[in-house]
Amino acid sequence: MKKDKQVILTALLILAFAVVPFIVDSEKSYLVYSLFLFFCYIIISQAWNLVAGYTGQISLGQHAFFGLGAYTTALIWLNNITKTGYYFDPVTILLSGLVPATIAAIVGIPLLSRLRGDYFALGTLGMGEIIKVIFVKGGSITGASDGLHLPSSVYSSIRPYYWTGLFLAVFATLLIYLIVRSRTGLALKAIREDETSAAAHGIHVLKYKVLAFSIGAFLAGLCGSLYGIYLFHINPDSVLKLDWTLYPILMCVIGGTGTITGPLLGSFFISTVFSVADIYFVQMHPVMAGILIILVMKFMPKGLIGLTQRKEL
Amino acid sequence: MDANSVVIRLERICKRFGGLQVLSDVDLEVHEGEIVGLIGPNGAGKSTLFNVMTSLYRPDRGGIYLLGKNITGLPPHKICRMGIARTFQLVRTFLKMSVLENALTAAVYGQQHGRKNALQTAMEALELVGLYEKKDMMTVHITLSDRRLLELAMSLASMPAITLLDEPMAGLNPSETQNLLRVIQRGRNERNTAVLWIEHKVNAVLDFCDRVAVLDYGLKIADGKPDEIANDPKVIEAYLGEPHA
Repeated sequence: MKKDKQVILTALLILAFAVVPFIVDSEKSYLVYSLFLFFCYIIISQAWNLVAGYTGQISLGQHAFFGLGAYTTALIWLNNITKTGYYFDPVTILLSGLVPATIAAIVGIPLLSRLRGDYFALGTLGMGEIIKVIFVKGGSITGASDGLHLPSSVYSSIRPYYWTGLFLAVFATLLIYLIVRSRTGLALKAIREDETSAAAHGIHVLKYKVLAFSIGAFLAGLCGSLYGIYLFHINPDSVLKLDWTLYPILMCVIGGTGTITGPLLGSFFISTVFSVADIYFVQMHPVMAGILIILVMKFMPKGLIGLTQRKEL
Repeated sequence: MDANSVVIRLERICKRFGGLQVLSDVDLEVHEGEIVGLIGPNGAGKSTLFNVMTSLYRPDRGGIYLLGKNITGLPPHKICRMGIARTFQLVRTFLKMSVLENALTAAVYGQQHGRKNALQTAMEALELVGLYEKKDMMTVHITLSDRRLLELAMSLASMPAITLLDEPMAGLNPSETQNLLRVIQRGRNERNTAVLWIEHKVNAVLDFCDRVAVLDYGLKIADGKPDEIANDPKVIEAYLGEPHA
């Protein structure tokens, strides 16, 4: 009964978001653009949430997968590889998720089997930098530091970005929800709690860590692809910057890691703070965000989601 | 006892950490349905022996045979699925998961062919140790003694041929100890699983086990019925020191 209500409420909320571009003037309103960013943030924070919040592997390399997604889209488009139209082409977007997922599996096996905890975090940070250097030094293939320019003449409205972002955000959240409620989720959480004990209870630790890392990369890649199509100009400074790792961490931690709604709240909170601060305190919004993060951590160590839970005795 | 009922056999297990010989040529057999105590002073190599049996460490020499199959050097998760369950000296339950999720994890991943009836297996195991009422609680919120019972339930849920208990009594008061002993006995009686049991409370082991093995400085110095062990001069020497000349 209670669950039915939740499903209906969620569906209504998604529907409400879906009709926003019909209500406000989507081409002039700042609201549609900031909600588009909000959806992007949801996708990458749910990706980090699976890897770090549920599996306990602090990845600092999410920006590499985000960038790989954007570059995959650009390279497929410019080299006319799949011959499928490219602009909001599902095949291109899907491939932009699968390429980072595959690379995550390949680099994940040595990283996740050899490195634990902080060392894994530093390892992924190093991997991100290596990938960035590869794209900067990629010559004419990757356009070096200037990057790649997509034909921006196809742009007509922000609406398709908005709806694709909404769709991917719902997809990412639903995917993580289904994974953590499944038996795979049991293995991931057990690994987070105690790797040695998880192995002693029959869990193939490396297999599940790589799986989570790879799914995280897949989602980051999808988001990178969408954002790349929005930018039309893909270069290392825009899609491979560390922000794409730091923002999701921030949003998960503020909202509450290891929960489904936490990253949603965190993404909403951060994107609102960024948007508002950008209007009223131009160039100062990182300072505002920093102060708010310190306050949230000081008074709500479990994140915003902690407010809805009963106080523990 | 006929050779067929041997659940696990250790053959000349050796393990050294740097210059320290922790286990030297340890032989041990445990039979079906048997409760075997493993005692010895601190640092005798008891926990190391468990870690070798569950493949957390690889032995330098020697072989481990489970139901006749050589399992030396297999990865830990495979060893669990083949039938060795264990508990840890410092309890290692999954704290931020519910009691049921803990048992379910063991039932899903610890059994060889257990995926179908995992939920039922987990529930039965919780019932057997008496934690069924607390199944929805977070593990971080239950007491140490309940966590030890939960570890026991998790080991039972993986339907093992043998359970290795690493000091299950540590930190428990007398009534909790009695309860745990009852549960261990029930587990053995209902499932006929073998138990190999490290314990510092020597009296409990001598009262309770079918057979007792004694380790001292990595050597097995005695192996026999509890009353033989209690009167064995070598064992007394290991615990109390050499007699004055």
